[in-house]
Amino acid sequence: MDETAALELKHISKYFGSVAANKDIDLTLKRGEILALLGENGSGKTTLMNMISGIYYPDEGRIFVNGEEAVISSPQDAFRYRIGMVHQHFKLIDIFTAAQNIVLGAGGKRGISHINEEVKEIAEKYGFEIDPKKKIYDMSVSEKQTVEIVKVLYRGADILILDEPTAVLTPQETEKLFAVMRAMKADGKSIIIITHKLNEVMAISDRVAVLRKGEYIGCVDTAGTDPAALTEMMVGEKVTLNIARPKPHLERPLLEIRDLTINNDEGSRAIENLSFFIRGGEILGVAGIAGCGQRELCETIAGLRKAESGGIYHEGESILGLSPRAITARGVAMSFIPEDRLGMGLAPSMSVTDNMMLKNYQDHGYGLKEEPVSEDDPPEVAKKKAARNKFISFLNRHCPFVDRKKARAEAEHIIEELDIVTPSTETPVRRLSGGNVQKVLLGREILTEPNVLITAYPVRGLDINSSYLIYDILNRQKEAGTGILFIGEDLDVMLALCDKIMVLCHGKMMGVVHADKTTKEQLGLMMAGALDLEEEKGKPMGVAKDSRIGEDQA
Amino acid sequence: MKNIKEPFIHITRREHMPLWQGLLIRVAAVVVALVLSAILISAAAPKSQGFFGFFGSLFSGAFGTERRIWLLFQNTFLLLGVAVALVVAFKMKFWNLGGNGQILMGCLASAICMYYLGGKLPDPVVWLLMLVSSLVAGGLWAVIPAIFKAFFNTNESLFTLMMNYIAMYLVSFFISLWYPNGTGAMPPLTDGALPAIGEGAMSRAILPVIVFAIVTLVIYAYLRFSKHGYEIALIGDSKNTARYAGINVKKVIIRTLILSGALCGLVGFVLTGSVNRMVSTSMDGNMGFTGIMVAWMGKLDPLIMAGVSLFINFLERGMAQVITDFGFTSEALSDIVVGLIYFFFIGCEFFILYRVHFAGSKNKRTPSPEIAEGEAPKETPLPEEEGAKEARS
Repeated sequence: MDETAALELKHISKYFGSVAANKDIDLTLKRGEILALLGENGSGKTTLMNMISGIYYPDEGRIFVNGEEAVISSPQDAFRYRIGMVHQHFKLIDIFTAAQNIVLGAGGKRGISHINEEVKEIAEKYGFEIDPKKKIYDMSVSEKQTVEIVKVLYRGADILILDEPTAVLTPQETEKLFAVMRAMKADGKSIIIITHKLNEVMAISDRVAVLRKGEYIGCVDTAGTDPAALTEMMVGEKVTLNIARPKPHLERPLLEIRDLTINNDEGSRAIENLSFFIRGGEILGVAGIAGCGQRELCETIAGLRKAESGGIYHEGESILGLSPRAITARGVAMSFIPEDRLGMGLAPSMSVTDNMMLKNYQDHGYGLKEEPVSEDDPPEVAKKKAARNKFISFLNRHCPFVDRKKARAEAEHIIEELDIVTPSTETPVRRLSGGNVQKVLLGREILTEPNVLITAYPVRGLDINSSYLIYDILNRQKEAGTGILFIGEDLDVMLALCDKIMVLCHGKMMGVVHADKTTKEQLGLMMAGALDLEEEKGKPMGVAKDSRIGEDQA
Repeated sequence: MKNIKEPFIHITRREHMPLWQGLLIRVAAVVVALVLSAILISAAAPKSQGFFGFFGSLFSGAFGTERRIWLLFQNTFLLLGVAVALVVAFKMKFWNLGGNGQILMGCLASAICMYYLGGKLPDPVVWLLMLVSSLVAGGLWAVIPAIFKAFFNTNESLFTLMMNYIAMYLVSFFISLWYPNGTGAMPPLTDGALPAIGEGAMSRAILPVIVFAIVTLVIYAYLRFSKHGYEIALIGDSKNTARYAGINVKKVIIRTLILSGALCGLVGFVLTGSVNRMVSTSMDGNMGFTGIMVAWMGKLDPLIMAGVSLFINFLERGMAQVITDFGFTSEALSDIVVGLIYFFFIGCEFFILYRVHFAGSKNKRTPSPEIAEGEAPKETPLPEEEGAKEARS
């Protein structure tokens, strides 16, 4: 193989105002290799890749493609140099088919049937599964990603940049993607992959380049390193990779789910006959491949979706059919991080302050204080005070205004508590980096002092440091006696963090296992539906012996 | 691809621009546009009054006499009222394009009260009935599309737009019912008209000025400080999040559009009750659409919109005077000039939002605190993308 590098960056810098997003970066991508680009949120990975793909233009430095200096000032230029980028946020047109999206902007005058054939050829060559005639809106996230990659290949890219491709994929889909990447590598393509997940870096890459705070730290051969060393390069200090699991102190069940059946938006079963319970002070993990009812389950518990049948009991009382506000008021908090991270739970254009009052703005009053009635008040005075208090609480309850002062104080509180990096409390949350956005969301849910916390994918797309901070927050809640339902995707994390793990497969419970008595393999089998503990043991697993639900209620 | 060329222009997004700098750019844009217009008009006019004569006519048309000043303020506040009504819906990303129809329905409701009840009931009772029926009629015209939007997710832009035509033909039906002479015009009604306050032009202008100054301030506070305003902004930003916060999205959409339509109806009430004392199919003065421009140029902020509304009416009244003074028989050239000024005024936003670098001037680039996070820019959608997103939603 000829030794000129496919891509070489020399002394690249990019400034946004006075902030250096990238400073003096050198990077070499050899032909036919997979280079992993590693770095925490805000370390400038995406900015660097955007410069290679023509979205930004570097302020300083030079780029060489195949040994020749290149000027990439637009995505068209990047295509001419055979560089293609697959963005984290897909740029596809929903109502077009896969093939139409792929050919969009590529020029040429061939008929669509011809293009369908070509797309199929590319797919077969590298082992993709794609139906060129399928519309984008009918596709799952991983199918959309496949379209994005094929789009880049169709235009003849030799250098592929994948920006956090696995953040939205299940373990199985990730494996498929990696197989495709290996096939592309064998074909002589050079690939840069941005990811946070160290085990993936170890599995797929040949070399790893590390960025920290916009600066280039170094590049190492994957074979000669380990996750601990990489983390140290990334964070700049030693980080212990152990997740603490404080012993749960068992209490009676806080939240009990009995025979719950839920439909999804299309009207088919999302959750079928599910029973489980959460005690205070424990973390119950929910494992399952994406889209097997997790979202519907969360929404139903939070009161956002109707259940077909069954019951949900909080401290022994049914909360099914209550309004979301009433459920929140009982101390059930839900934070769901959707695939796009911003779609649910946060208003992206609103400030941290405004997002802070999302759940409690209805309770904002004038801030008028009630006067306590003391024992030794004469009866008339006590009566007067009581009447006054009644009036004040009426006023406060019917206050038409929001109390931004209070919300700002809350925002400042969680910014300090959770170490959120933001220019101010008035910054729109979409301007914050991913980790900080998630901390805002989780912080607000914790602020309501819930006794049941439902959290779905709280570390989705987060770097190591931020993830551990989130685990810490959850553990602190657990120790304070909160019952936590943790819906996750990384089995390693769940095995380390959760006390018990419930496995779902197509909306059915496959069993509840103790995290310290199970293995990843067993969970994998259950997730795929090959092992059903409930059937094996012949007894329902999700019903607590010391249930608070009375016989007549259930 | 051998010769290395640096791109000639390089555009980056600005995040912060000092207020005075932004104002200066806008003022400069207007000045340049006015100078260009003055050259164009004074060169092409049949009865040219010269370059400076253009400015003379422009200002005298707007401020020349006491009557003109009152008219200017009357129109400014009427337009502001419509724009404020629309902003309430726009903040929710509900594109209410039915301002014209909602105003006409307000006018029609008032006119019906005046025609059938004027002189038969005591005036104050008629006034009250006019007010209530105008609010209801305007609100009704906006709430119909809102209900369909809330329950069936129909496209509100088309729906509100079509409602305009229904309102127009309803008005023309009633006029031909009352005055079947075929001219489609009706004389001013005297019974039931709102009382004149003061003398001359002021007597009719004072009511819209006071009413819509108050409305603007109230809506400003409503959008900014109230729980309703917070809900509206939340739904505009993310419907899913609003649902998650326990907000009944359907209810808020309907409630907000009742308010938006009722405010347009209020404009209709003032137009028919005080300003014109009759109704015609063109009484809306196209304010339902001009109001959209006021709302966006005013960045959906009622206080800035007041300034924009004044500016637009100043141009309209000023240019009308220029046309007369310079001896034009058609309004075509005045439309070109008004278009030219809008072009500059809106176009200058580009230089406020973006920084343009030319090749070879790299060292002149002075960094300003634009973005705090290195990776943040990818999250910041460009205005085009935002527009596209809005269109989709």
